[in-house]
Amino acid sequence: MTLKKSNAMVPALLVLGALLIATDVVWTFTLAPLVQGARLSESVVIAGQMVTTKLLLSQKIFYLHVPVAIASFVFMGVAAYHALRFLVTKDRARDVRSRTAMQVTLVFIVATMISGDLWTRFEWGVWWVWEPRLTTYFILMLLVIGYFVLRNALDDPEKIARFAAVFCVVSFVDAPISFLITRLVPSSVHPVVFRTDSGLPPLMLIPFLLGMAGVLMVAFALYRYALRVNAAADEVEELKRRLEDFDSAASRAAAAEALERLRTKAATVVADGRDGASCAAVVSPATNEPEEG
Amino acid sequence: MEEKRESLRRGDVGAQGAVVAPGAAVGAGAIGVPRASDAPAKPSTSKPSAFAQYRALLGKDVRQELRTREMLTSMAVYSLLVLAVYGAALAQVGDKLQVVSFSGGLLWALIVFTSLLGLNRSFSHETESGCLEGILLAPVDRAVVFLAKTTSNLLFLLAVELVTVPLFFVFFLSGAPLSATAPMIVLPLLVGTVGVAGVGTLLSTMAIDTRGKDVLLAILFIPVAFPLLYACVSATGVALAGVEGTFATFWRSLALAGTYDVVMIAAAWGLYEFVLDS
Amino acid sequence: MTARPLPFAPGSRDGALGACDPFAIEARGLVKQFGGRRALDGVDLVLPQGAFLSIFGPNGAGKTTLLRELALLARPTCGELRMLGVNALEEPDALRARVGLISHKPMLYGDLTAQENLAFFASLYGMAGAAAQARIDDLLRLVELDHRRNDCVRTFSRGMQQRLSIARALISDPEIVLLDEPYSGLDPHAAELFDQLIDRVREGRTFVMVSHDLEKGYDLCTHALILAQGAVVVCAQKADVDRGAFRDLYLATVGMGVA
Repeated sequence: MTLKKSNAMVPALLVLGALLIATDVVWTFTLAPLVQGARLSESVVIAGQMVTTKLLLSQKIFYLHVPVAIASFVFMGVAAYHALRFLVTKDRARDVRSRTAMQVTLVFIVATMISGDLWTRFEWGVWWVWEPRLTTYFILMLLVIGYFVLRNALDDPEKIARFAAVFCVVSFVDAPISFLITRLVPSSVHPVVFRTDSGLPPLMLIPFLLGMAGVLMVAFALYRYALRVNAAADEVEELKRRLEDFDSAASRAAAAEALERLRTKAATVVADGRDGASCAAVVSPATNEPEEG
Repeated sequence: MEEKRESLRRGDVGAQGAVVAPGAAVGAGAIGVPRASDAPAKPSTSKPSAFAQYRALLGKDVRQELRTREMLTSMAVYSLLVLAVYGAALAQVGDKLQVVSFSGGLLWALIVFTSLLGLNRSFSHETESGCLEGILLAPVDRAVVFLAKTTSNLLFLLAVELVTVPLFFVFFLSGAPLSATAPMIVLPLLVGTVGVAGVGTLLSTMAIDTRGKDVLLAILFIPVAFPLLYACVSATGVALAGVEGTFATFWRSLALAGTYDVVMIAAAWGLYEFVLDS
Repeated sequence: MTARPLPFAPGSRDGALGACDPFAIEARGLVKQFGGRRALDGVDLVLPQGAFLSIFGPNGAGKTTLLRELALLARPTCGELRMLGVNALEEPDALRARVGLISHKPMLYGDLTAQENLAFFASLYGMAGAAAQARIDDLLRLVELDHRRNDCVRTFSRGMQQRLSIARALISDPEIVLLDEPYSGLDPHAAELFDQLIDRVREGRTFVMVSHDLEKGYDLCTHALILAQGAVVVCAQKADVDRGAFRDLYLATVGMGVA
């Protein structure tokens, strides 16, 4: 019931999220003030370029890039949550949710990487810098890719689900450590230039929050859609497998009937007409002696 | 436990409806004698101590490795090959001082790739004839299996490092004036290797029966071990450079690497039973 | 501690197997399910102690799954399982020493000697010192590998490895012994030797065997079970079943494509 209800809400969420993001974008380019620089105490050299205090139009990416990045992390958390629940309950539905959340995570990570990279190129003049956030994101992406490689490297569906759940939890524990360490251990090559500890004025905060809410809604809607697609795909796989297994007997009903026939036959085979489905319960010692075949 | 089983054997037979001939109890006694009447000789009924099991598992790994030297030789030879590749890669760098500035990274790259090779091999004996299943049949706590395997992997990795790290110094740093703090690299090496062994054991258990397991282990292991690698490279670099006033970074990196070890090994310990039991 | 006589001295067969209560295996509604796929679909099984159960069935019928659950290597999704009166799902560790498994894989370390292998597995069951050594000596004599005790298992033939595997499975003197396709890879002579050994350790133990070999499995057993689609088609005492009819039923199960 609740599932149906929330399914009905999904398109609405998608539209609402898209609207919010659109508002965010419009707001970003109209009302939000231009940032007049990141107030570096001195200019810094990155990859041979002087980075001055200018962070102008390119700063607009912040309103989308950051929400997308946060959404990716949120959904990795969702995946880890369902993975843990799966390990406890061994319920396949949990595995499907965990996997779907990981797929959403991957999409959002890639989006973050691309948008971030464009910004890096534009602002810092390089395609890539081993800066803490970028590094962490790169590792996060590798972890999520590893998750899917692991799933593809196994055959037994139960084992796939179990190992994937374990790796999902490990990744989710690992990612914050990765972030912590890259922040706290300064790399000797590049100084930390990028700070986001500034307070935001309302004109910037509001569109950011709108974007955040919009992106999360879209992510959730995507997740629900993907969940439905995955569940349907699993069902198709299952049906395909059954078709293969039953070969001539094309349906489950026919197979069950065949089994029933076998059981009836079994009942006649067992001399005293004992119910074929349950085993000889109590045996007297005399008949228990091994016989010579 | 012993009494319980005794009562199970001798206990009220009639309740289940089986008819027992008078001689039967004697007969059952005869076949059951070593179990029922000679209780001390049947130690399997006592709860096995986890430490004894740990020792047995570890001893088995060490004995096997000493006999075949499969892991140790392959890792040692591989590390020599990596050193040779480094030789080619650094052939044009004349100044030994320049090498010092990034030798921490080089050293850790060597260790990570060598460890990957060793970790891939560490379960080959267990799966060859289903031995892992044989272990799991026994009343062994899965966490004990994890700890024993981690310890043996740690021992083998440390043994190989004992050879490769001095060789690295001989080949690449013999001409450079070493800082007085250089011996401090032992600490990050130790902390790092503990983490590599712990995380590596969990991941290589998962990679056991996957397709293309060698590559898969690398794909899983390197991103997971990345934070550890990052911290250890930093600590090693600081120790090798030995610049006055940078030692706060050394200790901070070391503390972070230690945190990683604790968190990840705890996670691996808790998750290990899910990897083994279906 | 003195070496004690083993229960499998030849000639000590004086029957009276049903004397030990409770049942060796008591399973109710065992289900192993993942997603929509059911490897086991409600298996009921009651087996008295001392019985020899042979499980037959087409590939993918759930035979191995059932055996793994009996070996406490896998947990059923739902259902009840009691073995030797102990709840196997709640206290599996209390049962592990009382259940042994011999599979088609020997589960022995190729680079350790026969003696070292057995000593290792003995210590996993908490056995140590002279008692464990006495047990190992007895078992090595039983499987006639006494003279090879200090040779690496890798140098053994397949048949010898399988014999040593019997010794490994019996190290904790289990009351239930599970056999998972034990004949695969054995030549007829080795299979014959294996049968003789099983016969010698039969006393006081319950056996469950999964086999593709209908003739062999049927000859050995006291109870026979056919699985298909994870469900029991028939489970009966051999005395109640006509051999020819059972054979026909087995062939029908394999042939009908119901697996």
